[in-house]
Amino acid sequence: MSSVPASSEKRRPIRWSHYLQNVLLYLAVVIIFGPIFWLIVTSFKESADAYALPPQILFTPTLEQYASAMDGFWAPFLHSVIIVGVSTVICLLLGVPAAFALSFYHANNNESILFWFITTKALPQVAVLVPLFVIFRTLQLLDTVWVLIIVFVGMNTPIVVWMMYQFMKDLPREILEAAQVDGVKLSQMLLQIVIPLTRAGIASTAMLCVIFAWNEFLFSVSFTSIAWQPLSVEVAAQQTSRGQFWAELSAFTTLAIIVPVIVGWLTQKQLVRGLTSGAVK
Amino acid sequence: MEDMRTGLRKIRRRDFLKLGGMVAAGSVAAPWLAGCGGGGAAGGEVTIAAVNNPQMEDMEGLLGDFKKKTDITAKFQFLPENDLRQRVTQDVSLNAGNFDIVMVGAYETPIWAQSQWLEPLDPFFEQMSEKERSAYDLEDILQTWRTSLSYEDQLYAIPFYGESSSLIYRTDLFEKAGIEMPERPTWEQVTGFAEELNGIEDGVSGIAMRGLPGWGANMAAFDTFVNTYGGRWYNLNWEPQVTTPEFRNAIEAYANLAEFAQPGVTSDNFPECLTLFSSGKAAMWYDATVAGGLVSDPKASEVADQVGFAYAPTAVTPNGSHWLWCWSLGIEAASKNKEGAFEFLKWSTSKDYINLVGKELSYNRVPPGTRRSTYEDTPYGELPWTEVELTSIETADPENPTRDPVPYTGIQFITIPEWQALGDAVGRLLTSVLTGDMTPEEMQQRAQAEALQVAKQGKYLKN
Amino acid sequence: MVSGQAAQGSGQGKTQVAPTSPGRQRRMLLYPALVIVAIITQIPFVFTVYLSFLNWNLLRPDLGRTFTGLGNYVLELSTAEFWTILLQTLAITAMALAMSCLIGLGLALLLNRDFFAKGLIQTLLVTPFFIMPVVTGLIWKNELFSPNFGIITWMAGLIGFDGFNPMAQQPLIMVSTMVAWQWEPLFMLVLLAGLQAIPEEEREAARLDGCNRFMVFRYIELPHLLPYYRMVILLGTIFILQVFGEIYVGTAGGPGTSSMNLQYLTYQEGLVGTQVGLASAIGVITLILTLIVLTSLLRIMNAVVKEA
Repeated sequence: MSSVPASSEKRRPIRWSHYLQNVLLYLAVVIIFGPIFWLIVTSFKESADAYALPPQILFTPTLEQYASAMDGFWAPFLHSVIIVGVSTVICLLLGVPAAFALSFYHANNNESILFWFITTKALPQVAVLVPLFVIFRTLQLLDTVWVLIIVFVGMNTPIVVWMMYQFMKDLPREILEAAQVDGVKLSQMLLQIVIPLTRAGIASTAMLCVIFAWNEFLFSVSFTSIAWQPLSVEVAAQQTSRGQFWAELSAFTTLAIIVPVIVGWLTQKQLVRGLTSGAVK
Repeated sequence: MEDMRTGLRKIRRRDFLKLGGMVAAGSVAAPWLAGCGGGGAAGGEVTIAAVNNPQMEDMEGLLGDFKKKTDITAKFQFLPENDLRQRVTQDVSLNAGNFDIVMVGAYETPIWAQSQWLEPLDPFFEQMSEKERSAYDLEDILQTWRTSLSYEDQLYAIPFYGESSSLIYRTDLFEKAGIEMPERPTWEQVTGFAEELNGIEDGVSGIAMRGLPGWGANMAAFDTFVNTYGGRWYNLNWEPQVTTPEFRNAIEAYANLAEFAQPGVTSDNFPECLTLFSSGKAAMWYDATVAGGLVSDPKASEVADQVGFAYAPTAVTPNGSHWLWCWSLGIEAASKNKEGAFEFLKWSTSKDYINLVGKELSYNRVPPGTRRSTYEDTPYGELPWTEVELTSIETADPENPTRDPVPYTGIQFITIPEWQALGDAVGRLLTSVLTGDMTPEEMQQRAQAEALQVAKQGKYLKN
Repeated sequence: MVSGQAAQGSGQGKTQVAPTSPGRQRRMLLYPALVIVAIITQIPFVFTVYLSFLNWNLLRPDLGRTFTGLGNYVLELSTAEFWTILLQTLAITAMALAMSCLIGLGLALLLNRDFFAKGLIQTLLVTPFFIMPVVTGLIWKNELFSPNFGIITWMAGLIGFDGFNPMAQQPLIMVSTMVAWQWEPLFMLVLLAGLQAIPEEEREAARLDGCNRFMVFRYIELPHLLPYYRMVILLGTIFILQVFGEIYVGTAGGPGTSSMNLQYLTYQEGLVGTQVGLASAIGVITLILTLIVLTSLLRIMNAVVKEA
């Protein structure tokens, strides 16, 4: 953007490769975003037109699907926002300091602790379902706001530690060590140096937590029922035995991905080129 | 006396734990969240776990009537069939009591009743006043259901929706080909028709059929093949009978027919077939009787006025040639509001409810297959597919599902808990036969081994 | 080296009087996460291991819970089907990972430039990651690849591919592709973050030294990306080894068992068959397998990172 005052002779050959790369990129967008584009298009169709072939390219869009989808949308949506929001904040509060501890302070067991964190995710969900169910039933936590928050904290904190460790490793040690020698308080070091410098990493990690929690289905359907049912369960419930549910399911799914898309968009704003390096050197 | 003591102990422990849970939650919780949690239904509320079929969705829209009559608020959790089954099984077997009412199939009811996870309903009916009893008219509910939803002479669930299987076909295509569908066809005839009609118009398959692996998917259809071709899963000693010639005939007949079925048959179940048939892409369709009404609805189907109805095809025996399924409502033994739950059962399975649907929505949307009066006293009985529907349900006999005697009940399933896993496993083998990755013989060998393992593991086989 | 001394201090557990000694700081920062994660994940884990030694069918309370020792493990490991499914699990993981690594890297490189509508395009490319796996399965199975209604099969028919039914013909490849479609955005984002952490001056210096684009990539960018690759591959491996939703609605494990993985097998045994003991045993086996795969991957990648 700014730091490359390249001479024009040098620029020229790069120009057409630049366009070639753009073409490649747009092609990738068509392929990768295509299915979702089709999903969104379908959500504006009448139920019966959704599966017509050859596909209807020109059609009068209808909001019928959205109208019926909105019916059952808000309560589970709110549940999901609360559960996912609270659990993600807790995950970051726990995971970011832990990742800093593992990456900055020397200790013989840092690598093994880091590895242990990630191995907690190696046990398949289905296998721990019954034990968790029994535990939560005994604690009288089934179908409360806490049950999924607890589950998601256990599920996502290891990911935060694992991801943030790498971003923290990229921090310039000299600055941190100098700060340490100068006697800068730990909290200041974290808040004023570490967190600002790893903003991009924190943002993408947070996005990951949000998405895993937002889309989680198996635990959600098992541990909640009516009072705290999240959106992912409601999305699944859109497949009815009536058939021809594509249009309605598409509308519901489109609504359901709005939050992740917003989070994703906020994340990519953090991924501005040279954020880390620019701030350091 | 002893019961009372254990009961007391249970209560104490539970209350203690609840207290512990609340303290733990409270210490971390922002107070505005703590209020929202709280398990268990209040006096004026019942919770229902239900499969999201069209009839149940209609019911959700009519709940105002229930609220008006009883002042009880009913809340639904809808899930697709497989997820519902898994969710509710966990809830009852681990004694969590998250729901007051659960929607259970004809398959689960006797099994769950045996494990005492459902509340027997007879005491509730005995408490009814004479007037109430005659208005509700339990005798009006088809005998088939009252038998198959009972365990040791106690009724454990009330049917809300019932079906058998039948064959529907496109009258216009049959006319075009110059062939006629008998009222009671054989599978041999049907295979012939399918061959002839396959491709009669561009993109039209000879028949639409279930092929997705699963005990409630392809196995429901396939099992009626097994029965009507004279096969059975076990003999009276619980020795597997999968390697018999009869069973082979059933596999081959199913596989032959599938040659003329829709492309990609192995990933299709009821909803996909419904979409196929109602968009005019199949000449016949063998599936649940409820399909008749759905494909005859001009709003959802392009072939609504060209549908003919025939009985489920047969081969060597009529026994078990058409399946029997119902969705019924039962009360969880762990429910905290059983009285309210029974009020809901009464309301949702009454004659009044059927008329309510008829008047508020339309008579072709009433929950079919449960009450004789639905067919005799309401306009629903005049609709063209209802005769096949009622007769099929009434003649399906889960007590005698096969030509030769068997130790189990159930037509398209075996009423043992292990059936789900067995049915799923054999269903997968069956798809391998259709894709040509396995011969019928291989399938028989593998399925026999699976069936044997079930008989041993479940301790049915004595030796 | 201040922190070097700290390591000795905390390692030996010597008492340090200073209120914010590095060792103590480390513990303060690390322990809350460690303790909470341990409680939430390890208690159910121990419970699962215990259950794996039992014969317990949820739907057969009459048979009770009996101790079978290693019976469940023996039962599973002795079937040929189990080993096939194990191989399929590894195959799905390997294929999906390979696709995600390549496509993710390609897109990250393409995105790490300035061009028109960058923010929009980046967001569009990430969206597959936001979709619920179950919905992915439904879209792919019904709307894209259904032989009767799928738009892609329809287009394939237009150019002469009749009978195109990849979900039944190549289920393993289709499942892997679905998974890669979902996971590639994560690889892309992480690698992009890695690329952006490279100081522009390093690239500029290399260019002034006469390096072409490929050499810049090979000698500057790739070495820097390797640790990021390590992070995202290990993370992806864990999740992709346990893929479920795509298989559940996309293929239901079929035809036959040709697209089943261990997670789906666990589901079949545990939630469909309600054999809690057996499912727990498969779960523990999956855990062990995952650990083996992770340690070997980690070893390989640490070697590669060191070399680079």
